[in-house]
Amino acid sequence: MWKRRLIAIVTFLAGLYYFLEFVVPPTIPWQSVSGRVLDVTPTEIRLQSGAEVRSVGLEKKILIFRQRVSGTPERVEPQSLSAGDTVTIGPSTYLSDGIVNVNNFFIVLSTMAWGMGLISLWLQHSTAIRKKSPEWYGSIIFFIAMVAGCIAGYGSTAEAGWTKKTYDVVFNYVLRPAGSTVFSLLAFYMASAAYRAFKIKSREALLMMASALIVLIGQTPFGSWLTQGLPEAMRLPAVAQWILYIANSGAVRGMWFGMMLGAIAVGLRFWLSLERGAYFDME
Amino acid sequence: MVTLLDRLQTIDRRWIYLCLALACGIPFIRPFRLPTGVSPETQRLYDTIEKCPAGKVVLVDSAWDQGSQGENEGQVEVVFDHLFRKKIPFVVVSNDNPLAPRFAEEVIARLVRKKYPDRKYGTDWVTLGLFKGDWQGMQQISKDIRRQYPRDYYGNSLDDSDKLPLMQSVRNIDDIYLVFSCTYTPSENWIPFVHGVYGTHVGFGCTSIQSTTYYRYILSGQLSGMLVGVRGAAEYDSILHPDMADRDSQGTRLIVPLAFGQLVIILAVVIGNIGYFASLRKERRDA
Amino acid sequence: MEHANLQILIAIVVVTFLILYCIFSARAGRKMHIRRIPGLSEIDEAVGRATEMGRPALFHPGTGQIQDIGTLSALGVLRHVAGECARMGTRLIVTTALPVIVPIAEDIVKQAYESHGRGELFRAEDIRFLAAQGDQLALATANLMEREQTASHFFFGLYDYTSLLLTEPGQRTGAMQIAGTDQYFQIPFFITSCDYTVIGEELYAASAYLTKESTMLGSLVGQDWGKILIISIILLGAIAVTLGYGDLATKIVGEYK
Repeated sequence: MWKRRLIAIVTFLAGLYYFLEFVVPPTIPWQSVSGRVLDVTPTEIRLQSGAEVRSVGLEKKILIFRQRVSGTPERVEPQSLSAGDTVTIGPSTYLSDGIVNVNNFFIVLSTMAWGMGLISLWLQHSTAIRKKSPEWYGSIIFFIAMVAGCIAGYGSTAEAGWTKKTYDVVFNYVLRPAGSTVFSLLAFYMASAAYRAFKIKSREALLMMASALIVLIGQTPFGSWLTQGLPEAMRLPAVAQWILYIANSGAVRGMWFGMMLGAIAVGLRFWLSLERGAYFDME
Repeated sequence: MVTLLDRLQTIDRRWIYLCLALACGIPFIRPFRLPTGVSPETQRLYDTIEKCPAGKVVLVDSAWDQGSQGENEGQVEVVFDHLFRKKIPFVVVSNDNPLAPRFAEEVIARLVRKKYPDRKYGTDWVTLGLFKGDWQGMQQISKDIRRQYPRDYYGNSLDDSDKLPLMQSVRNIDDIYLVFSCTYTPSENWIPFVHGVYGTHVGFGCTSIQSTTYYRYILSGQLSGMLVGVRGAAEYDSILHPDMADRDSQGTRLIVPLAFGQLVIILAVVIGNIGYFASLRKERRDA
Repeated sequence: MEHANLQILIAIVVVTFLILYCIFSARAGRKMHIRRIPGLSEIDEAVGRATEMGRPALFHPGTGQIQDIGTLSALGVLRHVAGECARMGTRLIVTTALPVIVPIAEDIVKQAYESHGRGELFRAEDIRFLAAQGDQLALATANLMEREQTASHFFFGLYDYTSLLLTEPGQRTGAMQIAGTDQYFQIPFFITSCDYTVIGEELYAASAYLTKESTMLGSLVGQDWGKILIISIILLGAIAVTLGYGDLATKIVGEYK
């Protein structure tokens, strides 16, 4: 029971930090001043704020945001300001100060998963060898490959020598061709899947088939060649572009609106520990 | 006749595989070139790079490996070629793919060897290597590149002005003109976290299948161009080298087998449908 | 944008209010209806097929990270599939590309079998981390499909280009395949090679649909209200721009780069 409560509290606090860091401005709004810089001294900045001229003391907790050309604000130090800059100055809310360290923490956390993966594989394959499970010899190959991969890693920056040779064998002569071969399987699978599944069984299927053929042919040199006698706007490449830019973009945007709202809802459920099932208790 | 046509929808898939292998393989044995048009997204990326001001660098997120090498290698090759030609310095990073920096370095080494022997590592380009955390890593790079990378891919300190003179003028996103992310699926987080916050140009190099989700960003102006698969690389090569005889990039070499392969798939679909309609007609006749 | 402006803050508050209001309404007893999702309602049939044929079922929770919404939703579906397998006494094999998923999946499947009194059928070695890279995982899973002669395949979660490398060999073994992903560009591959496909946000709705649990149903209805709100704003904006009030509309909604 206390474990679940602890998880819920930690989850809420972690999400709360990111939520507040996003919605709360970096400076306290009612104590912030915006305006055009008139001059900067070591102890204060003079601003033209509306009709009046205001002086802002340079205390420790003061943050200065200068508006970029693109309109977005950038945090700057007082010494990099010059007359004419549009700035917002105010006391810090301290939330954004820690975002870099918090981000670093999560990056380190996600990298730890790699170590977990290695441990999990080690346990799995050593158990298979010990118990002589079916195809246990594959587990021996795993350990040999792991050692070869580690040696190859040392050889990646070597100029010559046996570590460099191991690197070449593992990386250039095994991993790369194998990866490319697997990826090339997709071409064949796509061909057989298209042949099997793309049948015009309805009006919608006909529409889908027509647009697929137009886009497919339109993106190859044959598309221009086939329709070279037609007006520019009616040639296959132009029609294919219209389908991709206009028809496709509208459909994708609609799908993404739905998926993003779904993601917000799921995220909200996890943040507030309202999620049920999977790894939470049932009601 | 109808029975014969009906059988067209039950062709053994291995015949289709064989036709596809021949269609893709023959152009490698007897290479030839086909004329290539230029799509708006490719032209837009080229124009964006052409307008790069002096003193700025391009950040190339080259995160592809052997899986998508067929499509992405040609894309980075033509972009690196363009950057070298215009003498625009660039910094290479890799989002969450530890194998990727090595692939990018090989493409650069090949270009330097063949076309730009006077280009030097540390002055004309720097490879920083892997970064993790996706949008968190992007935020780090944008605010202070040294927080994310104290050293480059080869272990040199970023503050070492002898080995990495280029990095002395690259501190954060203000020194970066364009982020070009080239991988199987470029992370969309470059758009809200870099373009949305700082207004920096962002371009993508992606596989054809992934490109459909990114066209909407081109329409809205959030992407400053995109290279779509092998076609994008071939089109970019055609802009860089208007004379077909000068084109030697991977994209130009692969567009021909790609075109024939797509023809085979189209034919397979058409034949399958002829067989399907023949079988429908047979059923109606028998009924 | 690095920080929310007033309009974004209002949007967050409104959408959150809608979702939470519907969740708590559902918990208080209000009936909520969601339409039938064909892919999800055939899960029981697929498990039944595996049971009749005396062969195991295979579940693959995608290649996404544990924090991805799609992966979390897939684990919700795994719980239901594991429950059905436990109820029917069918063996369930889970293959994954993430080591962190292994203990979570073990826990889910073990709990499902034990809650149906079939704890002795649970085998920890059936929850397998095969490879970290998608293509290697796909090949290993395809090999496993042929070796174990799995009768039903469930592919739920985030998928990259390896989706077809999984489903096409599965097609050849004659297995019944149900897939669901929020990766828009993999959906066509699943549609061509699977019997049923759950598209986009239907995956996020899977937990709600399968468990009929009030919190989930309420959340689903709440996000639908959010969608209606967004569609209304889009329509109003389009009308405003058409009638020449584009500047006013931009001022109200805000400009985002």
